[in-house]
Amino acid sequence: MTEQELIIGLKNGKDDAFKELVESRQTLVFNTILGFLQSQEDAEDVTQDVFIKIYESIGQFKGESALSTWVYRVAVTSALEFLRRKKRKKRFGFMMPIFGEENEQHLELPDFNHPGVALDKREMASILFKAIKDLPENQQIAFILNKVEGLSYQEVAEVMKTSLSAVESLLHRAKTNLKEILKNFNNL
Amino acid sequence: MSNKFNTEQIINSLDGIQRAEPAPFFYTRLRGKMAKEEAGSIMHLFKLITSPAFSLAIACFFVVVNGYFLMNNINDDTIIDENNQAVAAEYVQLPENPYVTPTENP
Repeated sequence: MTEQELIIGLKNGKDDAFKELVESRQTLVFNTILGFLQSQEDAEDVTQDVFIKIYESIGQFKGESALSTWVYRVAVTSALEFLRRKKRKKRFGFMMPIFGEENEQHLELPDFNHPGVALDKREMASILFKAIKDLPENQQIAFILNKVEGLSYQEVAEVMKTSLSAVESLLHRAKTNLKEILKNFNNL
Repeated sequence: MSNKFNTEQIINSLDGIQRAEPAPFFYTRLRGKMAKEEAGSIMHLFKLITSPAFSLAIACFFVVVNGYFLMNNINDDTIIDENNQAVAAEYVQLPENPYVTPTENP
């Protein structure tokens, strides 16, 4: 099925087109989201939500970019929304006992080990993933898409709807900030 | 946190990373979630319709609509009544045979 046929099939609500979309893009979506959320369970959940969103809003896809670029955008937006929601919950978590919602436990997640990292680099990658969380949102997006998902600078620029030079600058600043964050980690 | 690695090494630790894949049968689980959500939204609609607040809102709506039409009917009746009175007054003033003009009478 060509991309055009796939898009037409999706717009017509064809099940086989949706199945093809999921099977051909599930790894792309899951891996991107995992880079942001750093939890396999949450990433699986949000990946499902991304495909439901795509299924419901394919009519809004105008074809101005490649389908994969649009899928990346939906994935990144959904991951960031999830993180914002989680932060909000954490911030107002102290109010839960007042309203009687004491069942939900807020435990800090253990260090994240990405399953795609070679065994000898796991410890270092785990430290790096912890540091990535402290980056500003835009730098985080550029860094994850480039380093975790392996997109080129041009592809990152298309997903972020920005210029190539802006992506280069974001990645440069991300690396500088990561060095600072990691230095602080070492001082702890 | 970790003095045994230098920062450059850590930053480059993602070089050569492989993509992570979701657990097998992802599509089946996704379809299951979609079906569950669809059923959930139907149940939500059913719950909304059967809720006392919704019934009360519908009842209020009908009372307001009825009141509006009732008020309009009263006003219409007044206009019709006025029209009837005007026609009656005109009829009283007419000669015995309205089809015969007064000039035709001898």
